[in-house]
Amino acid sequence: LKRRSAKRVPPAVSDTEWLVQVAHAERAARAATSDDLYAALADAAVTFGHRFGLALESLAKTAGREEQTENPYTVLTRAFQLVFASWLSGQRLTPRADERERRVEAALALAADDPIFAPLAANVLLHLPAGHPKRDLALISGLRPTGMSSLTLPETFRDLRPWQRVARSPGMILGAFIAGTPDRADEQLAQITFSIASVDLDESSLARHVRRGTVAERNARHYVIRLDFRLRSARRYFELAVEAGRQGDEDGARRLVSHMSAMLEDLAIPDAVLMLGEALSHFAQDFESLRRAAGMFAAVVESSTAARELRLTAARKEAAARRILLDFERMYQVLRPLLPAYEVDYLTALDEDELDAAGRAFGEVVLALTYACVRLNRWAEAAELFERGKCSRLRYRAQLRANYYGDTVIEREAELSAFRRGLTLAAPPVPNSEVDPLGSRVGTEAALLEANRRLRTEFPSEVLAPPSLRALTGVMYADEGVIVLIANSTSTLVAGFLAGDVTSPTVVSVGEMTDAEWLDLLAQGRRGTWLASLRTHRSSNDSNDTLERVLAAANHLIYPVARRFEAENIHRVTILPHRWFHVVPFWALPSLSSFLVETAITAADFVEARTRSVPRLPSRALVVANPAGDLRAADAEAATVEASLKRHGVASQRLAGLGATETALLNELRDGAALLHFCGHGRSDFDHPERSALFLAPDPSVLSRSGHVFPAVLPANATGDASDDASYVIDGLGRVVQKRIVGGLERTLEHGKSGTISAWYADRRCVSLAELWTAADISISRELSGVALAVLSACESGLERIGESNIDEPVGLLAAMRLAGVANTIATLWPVGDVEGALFMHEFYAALGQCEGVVDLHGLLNDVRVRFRTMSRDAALESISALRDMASDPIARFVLERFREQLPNRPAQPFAKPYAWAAFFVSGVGKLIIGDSMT
Amino acid sequence: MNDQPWITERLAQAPPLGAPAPGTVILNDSKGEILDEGAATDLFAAYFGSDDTQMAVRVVASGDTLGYLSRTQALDLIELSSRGLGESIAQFLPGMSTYAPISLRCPIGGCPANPIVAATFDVMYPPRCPEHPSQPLEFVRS
Repeated sequence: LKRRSAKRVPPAVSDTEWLVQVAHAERAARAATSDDLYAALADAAVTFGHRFGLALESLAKTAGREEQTENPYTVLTRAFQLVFASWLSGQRLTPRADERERRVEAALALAADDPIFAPLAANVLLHLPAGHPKRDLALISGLRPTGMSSLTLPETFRDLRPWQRVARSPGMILGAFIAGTPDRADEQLAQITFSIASVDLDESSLARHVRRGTVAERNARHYVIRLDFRLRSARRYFELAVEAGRQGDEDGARRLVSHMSAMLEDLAIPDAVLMLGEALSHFAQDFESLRRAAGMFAAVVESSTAARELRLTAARKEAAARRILLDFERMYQVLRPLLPAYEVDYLTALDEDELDAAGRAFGEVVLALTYACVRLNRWAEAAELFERGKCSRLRYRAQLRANYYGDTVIEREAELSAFRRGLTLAAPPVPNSEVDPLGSRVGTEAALLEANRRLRTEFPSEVLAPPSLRALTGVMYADEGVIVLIANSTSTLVAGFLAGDVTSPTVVSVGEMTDAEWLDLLAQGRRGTWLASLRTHRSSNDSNDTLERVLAAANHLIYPVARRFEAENIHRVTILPHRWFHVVPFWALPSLSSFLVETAITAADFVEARTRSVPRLPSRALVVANPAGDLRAADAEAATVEASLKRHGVASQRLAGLGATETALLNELRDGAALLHFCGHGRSDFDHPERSALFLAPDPSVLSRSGHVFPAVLPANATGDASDDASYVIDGLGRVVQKRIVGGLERTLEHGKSGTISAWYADRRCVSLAELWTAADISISRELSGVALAVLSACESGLERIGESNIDEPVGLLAAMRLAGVANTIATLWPVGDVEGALFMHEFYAALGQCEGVVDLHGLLNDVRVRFRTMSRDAALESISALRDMASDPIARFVLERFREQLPNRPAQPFAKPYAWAAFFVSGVGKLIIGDSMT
Repeated sequence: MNDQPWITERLAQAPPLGAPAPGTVILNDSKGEILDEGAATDLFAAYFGSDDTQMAVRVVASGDTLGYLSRTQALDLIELSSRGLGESIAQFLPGMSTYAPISLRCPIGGCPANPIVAATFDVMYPPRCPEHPSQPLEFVRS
């Protein structure tokens, strides 16, 4: 890199660093392909930052003296400038997890060498997500770009739009500073571009700036600066055109698009072509325009000079256009080869923003490919592609753990989890600053993330390939049908497969409701939404009414396929839900009432469940009962579980009340308890699904140290207004996080590696205190790996967050149980009553107690549901009396008596409503061996 | 302002006719104050749940008999909850005593106050038998 001031002394470089830099330069010089060259320069950039540029410049000068002509290092220097510039402007160069922090360090090093680069460093820091330790407000303020002197740095980071515009500006200022010593015209053009990009301009102001820029452009020497001016100006014209179009000003939109086109004229680069295509497709009023736009996108996709990100964006846009043009073959051709790229971005995304964006893109591409294949009548491939987008990250994590270094993966995940909780652990070794100067400055979290990621690079991606249609239908029973649901933006596809279907489904039905409409009904609608009714703890009658509406809609969707299955003499149906369908209890649909219904989260899970070895009922069980002390029927439930298991020779250990701590639970599991029955409170957290939890008793030793954190009554200044949201660390104790929740305020203490005590305050009074056994804790635990059956008899223990993007990735307690290695989990989709839950479990375990051989848990649970649903009042009275007789706790007995006393006031079939009988379901293998049967 | 304990209006002056002799529930907490409904309900549940034949219980507070609570009225106090967060009325909470029901008895043979259920017992200041006011009650180990 050329420095702006000849007086400046280049940074001192040790011999070792110089030698390593030369080795990198040699690698770049020997690169056989442009991809190899890019990879070599990218590696060098994230390792040395601008110092590698100086090394190349030095090598170029040395070689130049010998050859007197342009030499390979001159070319490499220019190439590196562009790579480095694009990196500093936000583009990812490598899959490294610490790349963002390396970029920060590189920018700060550049600014330290020459203050003219300070604005760039400010932009790079602003790229960090809110809350990142290096997003230092004071530092950013000190690095404020001179051109932004009129902008006030927002203190809360809530209004960052002008800043972010600059931060996203690729190569704009970088071109001016990095490409060499700019003369006055370069500087002037860069400043104009800066204004165009960062200030809100109307059409006439923008035109004024563009006119000034066009004059300056004539004398500007550097291509990057001129290009940046053109692209930024065109982008602003396009934005104004879209806005005009939105307001119905068609003439204005046309005029602005023509200005945009003028700015891009003669620019035969992919960025310009993509933007022209975008404008053409956005304002297309006929198929011909759309076809031309699709052609432009195609040119970018196939361009050898287009950056990866640009090609991926162009491919999605082309597919969208081709879909409207009904050109499904091309839609397939453009997306299929790029699918692994979208998938990798999703699997390796590091934070919520990245995950959301990558998930959105990957999910969209998967759906588009599925749709194209369906329209091309390539069902087998459609099914396979569709499955590829389901639970990818979960399957990826599970496969990593199943590998020979699985223990290390869990260890690394635990380290990362602990660090994020504020625990100081031994950080990964710091790289040698002479070999990896930027790496030696990254923070602990980034280093841990990168250490975590490096474990994954060796993982063969083909292991994640979903099963083929042949494999799927090959493991089905002869009398079984599988229903695949695909909700998309225009309709919902229901495909019914029978055993032996290898090319296409036996029956296909198309429902009118779109994915948005399902989302509205199930999750996001303002009123009558299924999940909303659960969130707001409405009465069971209200919830049942909402559930009935959901069931009616789902029944309408499934009905045609169900009828066909009946005609085919099918008795068993497995549903593979899609996105929000995971929260629908399909076993409660009237049209499926004659079938044994089960669900599987993915086809891969379905095939695995049918092919993996069936676990045995273990000899030891752990029964966790009523850790919070308020579920009065829990003792009866625990008693009925123990009695039933005893019939099979299973010895049960009970952890009850305050004795049911996480430590005690894990100890029991470690000691060999391989059946876990949990009877207590549960919570599904949709905002932070990894915090979904089962509630255990708080550890007395932790409480004795932290009692002051959880007073019985909160002081008056903590009454639930916005100021109550807080987070602070108490030395030696852990992090306290306080936030408002529906109905009050939750205060949590994160202690130790995985402990979380949660207190809920309503009207300033503490009404709940528990240790949270969270999905995050469960997913990094090893103690559950041998558990054959976990029964989570708690509220909404199987209700998981699906996410807002297009991706199908349930996250919550069930996913954590699966990841931790639990073979079978029985969980609930919604809150269950204390007594009703105990009674249901009484029926379930009574049935289990009668079983021998290979037990089909789906079938068993289905029988219990039917029995519960059709149970008469008299039978219920008998059942509740039997349950009561088993309880030794007088309070449990009296509570059951209360329930029994109320039964005569209930309908003839007290549990006939779906809300009463359909909450429980099985996830996992679905089988258990009891007795001496062979698998 | 009503100074009557919350339970007073539910109590009868005498046990139901023909019912077995009722035992006793002492309704005071460790500070001598009347228990709230949640904690008291557990005492009644413990009392009635341990003996299906009992139809009533004598309710005593600060040594005074407040009245008699029938089994039916005690059943009405029970609220059936779900297993969701916030459904509870008597979780184990910090800074608050956990009033697990305990059994006491009057050592005088044939005392009609027995069996006795209370929420708290201080061996230095044991409560007195409602039938024999000079007689301290004894703790019954289960």
